Amino acid sequence: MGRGLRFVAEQLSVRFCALEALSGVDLTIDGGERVAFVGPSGAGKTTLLRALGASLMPSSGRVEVGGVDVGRCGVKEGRQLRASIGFVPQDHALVPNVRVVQNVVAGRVGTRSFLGSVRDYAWPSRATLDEVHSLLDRVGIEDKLFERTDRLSGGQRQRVAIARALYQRPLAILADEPVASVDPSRARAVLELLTGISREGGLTLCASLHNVDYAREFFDRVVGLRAGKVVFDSRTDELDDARLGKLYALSADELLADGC
Amino acid sequence: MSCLPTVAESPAERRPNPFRGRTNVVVALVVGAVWSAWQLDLRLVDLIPSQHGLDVCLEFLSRALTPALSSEAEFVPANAPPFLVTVLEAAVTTVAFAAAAMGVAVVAGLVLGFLASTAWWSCVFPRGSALAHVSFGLARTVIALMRSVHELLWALLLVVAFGASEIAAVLALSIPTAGTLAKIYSELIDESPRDAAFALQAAGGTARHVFCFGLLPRALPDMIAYSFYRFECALRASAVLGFFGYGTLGLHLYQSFVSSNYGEVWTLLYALFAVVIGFDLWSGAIRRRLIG
Repeated sequence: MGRGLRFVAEQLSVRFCALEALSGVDLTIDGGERVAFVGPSGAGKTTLLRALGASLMPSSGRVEVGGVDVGRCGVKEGRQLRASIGFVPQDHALVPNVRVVQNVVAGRVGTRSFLGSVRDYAWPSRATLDEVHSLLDRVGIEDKLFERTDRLSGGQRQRVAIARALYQRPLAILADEPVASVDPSRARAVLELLTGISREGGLTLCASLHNVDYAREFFDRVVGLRAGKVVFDSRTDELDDARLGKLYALSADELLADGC
Repeated sequence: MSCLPTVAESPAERRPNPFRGRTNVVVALVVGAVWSAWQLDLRLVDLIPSQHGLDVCLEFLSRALTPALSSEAEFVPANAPPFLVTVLEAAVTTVAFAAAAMGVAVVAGLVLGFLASTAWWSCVFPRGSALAHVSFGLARTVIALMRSVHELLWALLLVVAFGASEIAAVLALSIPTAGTLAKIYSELIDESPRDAAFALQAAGGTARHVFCFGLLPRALPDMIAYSFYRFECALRASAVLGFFGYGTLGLHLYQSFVSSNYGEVWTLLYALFAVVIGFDLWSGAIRRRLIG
């Protein structure tokens, strides 16, 4: 176990109006573990990540992050909790018309005062620039410090989103489809980067993935989700193809819904 | 069962009719336009000028290439400054009124624009609040009142209330401009993508953090571009304020026109063109620098 956050979900359900995105999920992720969530589109992977990241309140059940019950913590405690979790969204969620350094420093909004954040954003100190530069160096784009974000490639933006999450000095990283928009060679590099950071710092890493081979190669544990439910939860070395086949097999209803 | 469409369901046949459901709207617009023309008794024959009107027009146009470089008035006081100096002073006054009004309008527009944006209130009260609803409605109403009255009508009201002071002129220009800016600012903020805002919320940011670093930077380029456009409108409105006796280009335009000094009119019009074109070049350079 590392210094990373421990996540516990008990009978976790999340509903969006009539849609039940998660239904009775029980899951424990120890500090420093590297867990991949796999499953077909609409299985509830993103919802589970957002619920674990304390960005989404459960409709029922509970989520505990680092020993704190997310549903019962106050506004300030909730902010502190979220500040300790680096979230890497699928679409990168960067501001395109500002510089890379500004996107990265925005990562520490959870622990900085408003005026401090304004100063970091508009006129970062030498120490701040050095720290951001070393993070960009870590993710392999150190020469892009003052580049406008919309002039970067998709892969480079992905790295800026990772650097922003790392600038938070997080105890856990939650990455939503971190390799969805990059080619296979870059996907491998991004996953090596994320798992390497997790291993070095003892950070908990949870990532949703579509590619099961990557889950097997880079993660300790794989959780299969389907229709908002956990179908399997297995160590990577114990994962068999039959379980995966069942996870991705379309039911007769789903085949009809696809229009065939 | 085949996934391929049958012959009867070919894409061409399933293509939606772009006019379906819109025919009534188009017919209503055409009927409205025809009725308005009839109500106003619009007649094309009125566009044929009288002989006198034609003479005046030709005389006016004939001076376009020979604008006045000195006063054409019959009586010029001995201590009066040269005509071109008067034009320059009027142009500077026109810009000064517009700039002062824009300064007030941008600050008021920003405050009201934030208060009239749903994004601001959803950042401040993520779970909704009666205060948010009341404040939002109030801000929207104030904005509508400000911009529903034209600059000239505001000038009329304010000059009657406070006399022909400079502050009355600046307020007359800034009130409707602030209302329009606030409306556009609020819409630009509300329409800007929320993904970065959500990311900052997930990183523990407060409402102020989320709004200022997630939403505002995305809307800012369009807000700047629109503010420059409104500055250009304010320049034109500032010139027209001369009709109320303020020393802008409009005052001299009016005096020269009623005195039939068309050479002076052209000089003043060229000065106004120069101000607008100069501002356009300057604002374009700034926009390119700020927005890239």
